[in-house]
Amino acid sequence: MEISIIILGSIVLPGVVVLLLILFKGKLSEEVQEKDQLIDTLEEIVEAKSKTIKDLL
Amino acid sequence: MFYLVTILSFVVVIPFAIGVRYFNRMPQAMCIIVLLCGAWSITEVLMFSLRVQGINNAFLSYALTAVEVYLFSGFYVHATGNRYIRMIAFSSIPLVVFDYLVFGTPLNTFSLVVEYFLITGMAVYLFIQITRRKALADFFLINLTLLFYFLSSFPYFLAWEWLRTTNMDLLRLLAGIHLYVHALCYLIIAFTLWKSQLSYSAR
Repeated sequence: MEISIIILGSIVLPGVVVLLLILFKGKLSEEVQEKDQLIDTLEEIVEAKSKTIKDLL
Repeated sequence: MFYLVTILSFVVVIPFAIGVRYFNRMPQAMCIIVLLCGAWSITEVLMFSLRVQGINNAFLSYALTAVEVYLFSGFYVHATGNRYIRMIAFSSIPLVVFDYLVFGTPLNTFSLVVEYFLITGMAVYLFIQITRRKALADFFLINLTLLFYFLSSFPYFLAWEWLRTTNMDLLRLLAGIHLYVHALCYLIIAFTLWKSQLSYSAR
């Protein structure tokens, strides 16, 4: 019983935490990339709009 | 068993040697990890010689804890660029000094637990920053290694006093696991240092 708790605490749990972080990193990075793309698109739209306004003026 | 313990303890010399070899070709944060490996190597030598002579090494344990807090906060400050980390980390040094003055046992459980909480928090903060900034991707592996290193050491130091009086065989098993995990982490740190100098010099 005590051996299993110790093995669980010193190897399995830290390993699971690290694995979860590795899995989450991929998912969070994807979300950040999507947001970056969205920001780029919005910036392009703003630039195009400002150019149109300048042309009109 | 004695030789195995000695050999596994001195695996820390490998990342230190690799770090010294490529010290000029690494980012500043990684240089701090090399200094940390140096501090660990020196402590291993001193602790080994003190243990052989039967001298109490309480001061050395506490001094190492303070040095670890200083160097780890430096690593996370350089990696994330957030200077407040150092202020938070330094607030734990009075706790370490207090622990030494009041208890002063060779195994500084209280200050180690404080230190491990701090470093785990800093590692999680760096992980969040890594997911947001692509420039920090080089620190991903070393951050996870350090997190695993400290999380796996946590039960060992927490259960030390209790197992020392109740079950010595189990304590030996736990110490063995602790040593193997540390040796593995030192090898991963060595690999990360070598890889970081490759990617840094390629820029």
